[in-house]
Amino acid sequence: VSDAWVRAFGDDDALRLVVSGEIDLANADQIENQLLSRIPNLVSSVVVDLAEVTFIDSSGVRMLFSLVQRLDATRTALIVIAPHGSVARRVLDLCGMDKVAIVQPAAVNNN
Amino acid sequence: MQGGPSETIPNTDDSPAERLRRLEAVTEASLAHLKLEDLLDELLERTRELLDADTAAVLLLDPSGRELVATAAAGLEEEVRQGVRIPLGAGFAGRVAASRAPVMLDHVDESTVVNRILQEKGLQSLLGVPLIAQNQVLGVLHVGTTRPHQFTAADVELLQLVADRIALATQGRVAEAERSAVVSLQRSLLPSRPATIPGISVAARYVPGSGNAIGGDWYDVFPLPGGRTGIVIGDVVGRGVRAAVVMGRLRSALRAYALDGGGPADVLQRLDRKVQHFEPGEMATVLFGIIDETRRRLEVSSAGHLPPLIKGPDGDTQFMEMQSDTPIGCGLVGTRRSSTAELEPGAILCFFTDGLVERRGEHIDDGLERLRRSALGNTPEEVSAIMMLGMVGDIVSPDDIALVVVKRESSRGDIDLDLPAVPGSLSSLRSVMRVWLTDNGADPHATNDLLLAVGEACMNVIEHAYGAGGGSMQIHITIEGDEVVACVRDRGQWRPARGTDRGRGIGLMEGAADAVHVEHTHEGTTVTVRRRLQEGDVQ
Repeated sequence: VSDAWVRAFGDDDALRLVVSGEIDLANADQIENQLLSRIPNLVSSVVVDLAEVTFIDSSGVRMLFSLVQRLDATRTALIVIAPHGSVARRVLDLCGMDKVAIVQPAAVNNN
Repeated sequence: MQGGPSETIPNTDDSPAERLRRLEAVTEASLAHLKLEDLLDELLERTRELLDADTAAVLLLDPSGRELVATAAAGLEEEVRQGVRIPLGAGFAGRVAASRAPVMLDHVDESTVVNRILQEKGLQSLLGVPLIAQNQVLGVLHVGTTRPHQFTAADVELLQLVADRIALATQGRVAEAERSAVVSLQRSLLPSRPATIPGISVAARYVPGSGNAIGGDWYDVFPLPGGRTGIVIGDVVGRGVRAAVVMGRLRSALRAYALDGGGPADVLQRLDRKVQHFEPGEMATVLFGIIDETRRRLEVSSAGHLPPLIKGPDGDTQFMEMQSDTPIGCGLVGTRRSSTAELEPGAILCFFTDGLVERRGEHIDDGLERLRRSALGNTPEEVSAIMMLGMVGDIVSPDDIALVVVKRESSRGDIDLDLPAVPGSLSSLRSVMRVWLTDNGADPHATNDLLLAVGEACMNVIEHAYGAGGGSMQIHITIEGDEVVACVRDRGQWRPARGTDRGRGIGLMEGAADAVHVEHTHEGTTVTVRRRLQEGDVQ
């Protein structure tokens, strides 16, 4: 069973959604729904932290692109955390995620 | 069997002949063949006649030990049908049980009895004696008359004799019922065949302790998300149904906490908190280990339990060096720790309860050393059999014995799998690949790249090769020199990608691998992926 889970930290001003586990075709839709359900209307930017992800493939990337589109419609920025050398970073680099979202190696305090 | 009612004899006759006759009526050997219910009915009927009483009844103490429950009756059947319950110490029967001595009553009203049925029956005089076996009160036997009546000392003696007989029979049945309940509960909770996990082989033994000493031990082996494996052994303090029930709760709680993620120390910490909150007073020792997704590392935390025995592929056998923390539920708070051990391919782990190594009059270190030396054999089944033979032999242990033996199989030869072309196959394939690649010398970068590239190839099959009827995919992975060569085959026809983002998979596959070759034929498609075992990211 591909298992991943989402935890939310912070508040509307600095919302950080941490995804852990494995994301593939079997659960990418569920993860997208879990992420969307935790994003309230009022936020101006969302941090999705993939540092604890142990596997992500093109269905996970597809999910992130779809998330970007959904957030774009509400003028909400997506910041993806993927440390250098992490599993997620390798995949995001290979598919050009940095062209549509802000990809950072670590959470930056924007305040 | 000599059945039927005896003729009525005035109970004033205390002649030796009459006493002997009365004694025989209730001690006759043929009664021993009756089932408990029939025995109670027969004894009550005979007692009622012998004592010239109108009613006779047996009340047994319920498992809580606080209430007497009407169990059998003659002339007072409604008591049983209505499920009459009398608190210990209250009313007539309650006083008999609490005082553990005969009680005689010569008038029946609200001040002397709590059971309304006795009053409604119009009973005037009552005589009750306790049912005692092995110094424990099991219940009460009482007789009553609807006319004022003075029971004699001989009556008391006879009734006590019947009570002793009932107590013995009841105790035997309760013990037997409890034992069989615990054994069936244990059986339902312990996996007879632990979960099948690729690359992990398992054997287990559970032997209930003699007498009623069964119920507290358990073992468990289960797969965790991301290709990890959990191994548990535990021992609940106490015995009987209660310990078995607590064991069942701990077993499922531990599984649930393990599924939530975190290391073994975190999981035991959460289990401890749960027991202290919801089951105060219960205590257990637990050893919980997690084998990581590459099967190279074992992390173990101990809550007052003996450490695991690890037998390396070279035969070297040692107890894992680790510190033990407090048992679950003992109420002491502290940080739980865990220890790790490297697992060689082919290593064998033994988790066991103290029943396996503790012998009366022997120091536990001697038992542990005997266990260490008895870890012979190459498969979990062989190791378990030899250990049980060497450690237990034909000894009847007073304590439960549980043993679970897990072998981390080495990855020999190629990966050759035929999996259904469904999303659910992807994570199992990754679990197998992670272990195999690590065993074959792939570095973490190469491992992750191959998981990605082969995963994308499989996803193409799942999404594009077959129609609604579905199909299968064959995965073959081998080593050629310093390269891993993985082939993913299907027998379908690829449809053009659907949706806007669908071409991304091919790009990822090409980016992660050194070389990708796709061959479409009329029989299906074969994707071949090549990637070096070592060196960092492909540029």
